[in-house]
Amino acid sequence: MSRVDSSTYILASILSILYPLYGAIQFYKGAVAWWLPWIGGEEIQLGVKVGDAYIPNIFPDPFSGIILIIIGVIFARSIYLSKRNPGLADGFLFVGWILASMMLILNLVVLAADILDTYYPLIWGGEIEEPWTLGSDPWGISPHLILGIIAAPIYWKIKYLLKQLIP
Amino acid sequence: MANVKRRMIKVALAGNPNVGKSVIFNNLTGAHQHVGNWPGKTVDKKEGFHRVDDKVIYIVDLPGTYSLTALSVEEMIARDYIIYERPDVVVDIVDASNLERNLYLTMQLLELGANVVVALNKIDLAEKAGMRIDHRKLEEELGVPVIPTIAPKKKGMKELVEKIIELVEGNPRGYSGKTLCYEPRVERFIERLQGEVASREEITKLLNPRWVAIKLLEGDEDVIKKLSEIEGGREVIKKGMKLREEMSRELGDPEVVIADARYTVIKDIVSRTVGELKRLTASDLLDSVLLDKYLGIPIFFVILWWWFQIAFIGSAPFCDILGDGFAALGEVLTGITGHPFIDYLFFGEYGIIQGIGAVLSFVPLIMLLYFILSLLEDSGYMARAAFVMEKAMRKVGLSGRTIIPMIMGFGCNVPAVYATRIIPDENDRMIAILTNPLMLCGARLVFFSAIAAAFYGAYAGDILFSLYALGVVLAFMVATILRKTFFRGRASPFVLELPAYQKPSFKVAAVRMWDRGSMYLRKAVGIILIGLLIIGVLTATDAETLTFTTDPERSLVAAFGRSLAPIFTPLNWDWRFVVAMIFGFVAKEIVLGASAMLYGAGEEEIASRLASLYNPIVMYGYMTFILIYIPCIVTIAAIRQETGSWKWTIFAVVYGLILAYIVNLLIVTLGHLLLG
Amino acid sequence: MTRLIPLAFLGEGEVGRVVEIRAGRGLTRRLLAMGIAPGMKVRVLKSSGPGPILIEVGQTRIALGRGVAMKVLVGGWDAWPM
Repeated sequence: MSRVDSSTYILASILSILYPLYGAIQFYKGAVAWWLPWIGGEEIQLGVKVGDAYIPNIFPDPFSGIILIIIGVIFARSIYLSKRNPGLADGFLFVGWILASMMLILNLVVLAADILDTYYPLIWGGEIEEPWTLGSDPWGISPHLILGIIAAPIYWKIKYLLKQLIP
Repeated sequence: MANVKRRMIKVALAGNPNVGKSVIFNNLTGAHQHVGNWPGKTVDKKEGFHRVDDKVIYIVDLPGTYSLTALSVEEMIARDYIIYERPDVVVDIVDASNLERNLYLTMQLLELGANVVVALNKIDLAEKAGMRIDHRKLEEELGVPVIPTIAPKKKGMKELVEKIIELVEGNPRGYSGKTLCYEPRVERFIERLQGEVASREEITKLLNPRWVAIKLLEGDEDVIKKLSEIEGGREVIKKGMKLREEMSRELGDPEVVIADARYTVIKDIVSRTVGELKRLTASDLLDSVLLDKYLGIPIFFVILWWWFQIAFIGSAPFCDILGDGFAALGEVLTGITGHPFIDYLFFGEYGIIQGIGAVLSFVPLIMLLYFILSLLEDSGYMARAAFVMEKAMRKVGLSGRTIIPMIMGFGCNVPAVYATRIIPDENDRMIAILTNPLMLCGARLVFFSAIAAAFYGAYAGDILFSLYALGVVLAFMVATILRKTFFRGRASPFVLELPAYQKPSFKVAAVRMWDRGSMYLRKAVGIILIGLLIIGVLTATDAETLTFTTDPERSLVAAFGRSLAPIFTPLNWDWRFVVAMIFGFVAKEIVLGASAMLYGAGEEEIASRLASLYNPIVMYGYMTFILIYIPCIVTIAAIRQETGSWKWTIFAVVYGLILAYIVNLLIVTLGHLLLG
Repeated sequence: MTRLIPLAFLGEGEVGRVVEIRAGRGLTRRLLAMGIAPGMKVRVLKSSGPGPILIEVGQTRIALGRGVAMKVLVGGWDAWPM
C-alpha cells in the first residue's frame, strides 16, 4: 500500500526535528519581542550568517512559531504511523509536504512583496528610502523557505497519492 | 412423430431496479420480444422467447422491485406471477456491487419457494470497487445456483441458459432444496404457524406454507385476502393473527423484526462470501488526515494563517502604491481650485481624494483574500474545515464556518464582513456580521500599539493581547445573546456534503477576485464619500464664524466634541478624546493622527505626550472604547451591503456605542477601585 | 441482536442500513436528495465524541450534525469484517 521507503522516513525524521526546533525558537523570540521583552534572548539565531543576514533567519513571531511546530508534529505523526498504518502515514507525509511547500511559497511571496514595496517609487521617478537587503527584510530567508526546500524530495514518493486524488 | 415434445420452459426475470435486468432480457430474447401491459395495470409487461437446440424458453421480465410486499403495484405483479403462473425458474438478477440490498429480494423469493437461479451481475463493477465475491461459496450458502454475469458484455448468458435447462430437466417444478432459516426467536413463530398451514391441503396446493406463515406474521393484507377465499383459510388467518400479536408483544413490530432477521442472514452470508473490502481511496486517506481528531484543527489554523499572511503581505505593496498614488494626486491637485475650503475638503490630509485612496487601498487586499479563498473552496478543503470547526464553534453559539470571517476580522473587518457569505444559515450569518467589528483589526492595532508602548512599557504586549481577547470574548457573548433574542430559531440542521477533491481553477478564482473587488469598490465608495464629506466639512468649518479654518480646535467638530464631553466624564475623558473618537468613525488609523493634531504634537510624540497627561487606567478604558464602538465607515458600508438593511446597520452602530460605553465605564470604575 | 438505532449511535467503521427517517418534511427531503434513504447502506467514517459525524453512503461522503443523525434510524449492524 505505502510506496514510501525508508530514505523518505529519514527525511521525515529530520523534518520532524527541525520544524519544531525552529518553531520553538521562533515562538520564544516572538513571545519575548511582543509580550515579555524583559526576559531577553531576542537575538537567538540558528543558522549561517551571510553578509548581514542569517540563513535561515528566525524572525520573532509567536504564531509563525506555532505553525512551524504543528508542521513538525505532522511529520512526526507520519513516522509514528509508519509501522502500524503505512497507508495513513503516507497521508500525513502528503499533507506535511503540502504545508511545507505552501510555507515555501509564502516566504517567496513575502520577499517579492518586500522588494516591490521598497522599489515601487521608482515607477514614477520617486526616491527609495533605503535599499532592500536580505538582512533588513523582516522575514528574510526564513525556516519556511529552507525547510520547505528540504521537504521537497518527498513529492516524488507521494506523487502517487496526488495522481489518485486528481485523476 | 418425434418423441421429444417441445416443452416450453417458463422463466421469469426478477430483481431490483437498475440491476441490468432489461439488458439480460434483451440478451436472451433479442428480436423475439414483445411489450404489452399487465392485465388491468398500467405497468409494462415484457415477454419474449429464447430458442436453444430444440427447446423454447418463454421469458417474462417482471417489474423491478426491492421486495415482495403487498405495498406497490409492481411488487404485487411480480409475486402474483410467481404464485399463480408458477414459472419453472425465476432468475434473480443481483447487482454484485450492491449485494446486501439485492439479497433482500432473494430472501423473499426463496421464502416464496420459487425455483431460483441467481444471476450475479455487474461483477466487473464490484471488482473495480475492490470486492471479490466467491460465487461458489455464495451458491453453497444460498442453496441455489449462482451464475456470474456481465450483462452488457453478454458474459454468462450461455451458462445461465444451461443452468436453467439443467434445473428444469433435473428438478421437478416446485420447491427449492435448502431452506434458509432465520434466527431462532423468529423461527419459533414461523414454525408454529407453518405447521398449521401445512396441514391444510387446499392451501398448500397453491401456496408455500412457510411463505404463508411469514406473510401472516408480517400482516400481509393480500395474503390474508387470498387465504380467506380458500377453504380452511380463515382459521389459519385467526391463528396467524394471534401469533402475530404474541410476537409483537415479545419482540416488537413483526414486520421490522422479520426484516431484520433477513438482513442478519444476509450479513452472515456476505461476510463469508465477500472478500477484500474497498481499498482506502486517496480521498478517504486525505480526509483521515485533514479531519483527524487531534491534528485536524491545527492543520486548519496553519492553512488559515498562511492564507492571511499571503493575502496581507502579498497585497501590501499594491495597497501602498495606491495609497501613495492618491496622496501624491492630492498634493498635485492642491491649490488647483484656488478656494481653500474646497481644497482642504478635497485634497487636504483628510480630504476626499485621500479618502478614495484609502478605499481603493483595500482593493488589492480584498482581491487577494478572495482569490485564495476561491482556490481553497474549489479544492474541496473548505468543507473539511467547516466540519472540523463545527463542533468547537457550536459551543459558543456560532456555526463552524464563522471562524473564517472571525479570523479575517483580525486583519481587517471589511473583507471579513464580505466573507460571511460562506455561512449558509441566515441567522448565523447575521450574527457573524454584527459581531465581526469586535475583532481587533489592523487599523486599531496601529493606535493601540503606539499607546501601549508609551503607557505600559514592558507590559505593552500583554495589554494588546488582552484587548484582542476582550474583543473575542465579547464577540462570543454578543453572539450568544443575539442567538437567544433577535436571531432565535434552531440552528439549521448540519448536513454538509464533502465534495470530491479537485484541482482548483485559477481562472475561476481570478474571476471571483475581480467580481468581489469591483463590487466592494462600487458599493463602498458611495457611503465613504458622503461620510468623508460630512466629517471634512465639520472639521474645516469654524464653529463660531462658520468659515473655513485649519485650526481644529475651533472647528465644528471640536464644538461638537466639547458639547458631548460631559457624557464622557464618568470615563474621565478629555474633550479631545471625544473628537479623536469621532475621527475614528472615518477610519480607525486616523485616531492617532487626529489626537496628534488636537494636542499639537507630532505623530511620533503623541503617545508619550498622552502618557504624561493621563493615567494608564483611563487610557486602557479609552482603548477599549475605541475597540468596541462603531465600526469604521468602510466597515459600516460593508455591513449595510451584506445585511441589506439599514435597520441592522444602525443596530450595529448603536449597540457598539452602548457596549463600548458600558465596558469602558466598568473598567474605569473597577480599575480605580482596585488599583487606586 | 438487531434493533433500530439512531445513526448517531453507530461507531466508527460500523455499517448500518437506513430504515426510517424521523424528521420534518424539509430535512427529510434534503436527506433523501443526498442519498440517505431507507434501504441505503451507510458506513460511519468518523464519529468521535460530540460534534458532527462523517458517513459514506453510496459513493458520497456526507457530514451530519448529531441532531440530524439522531433522526435517521438504521438497522443495527456490526462492524464490517475486514
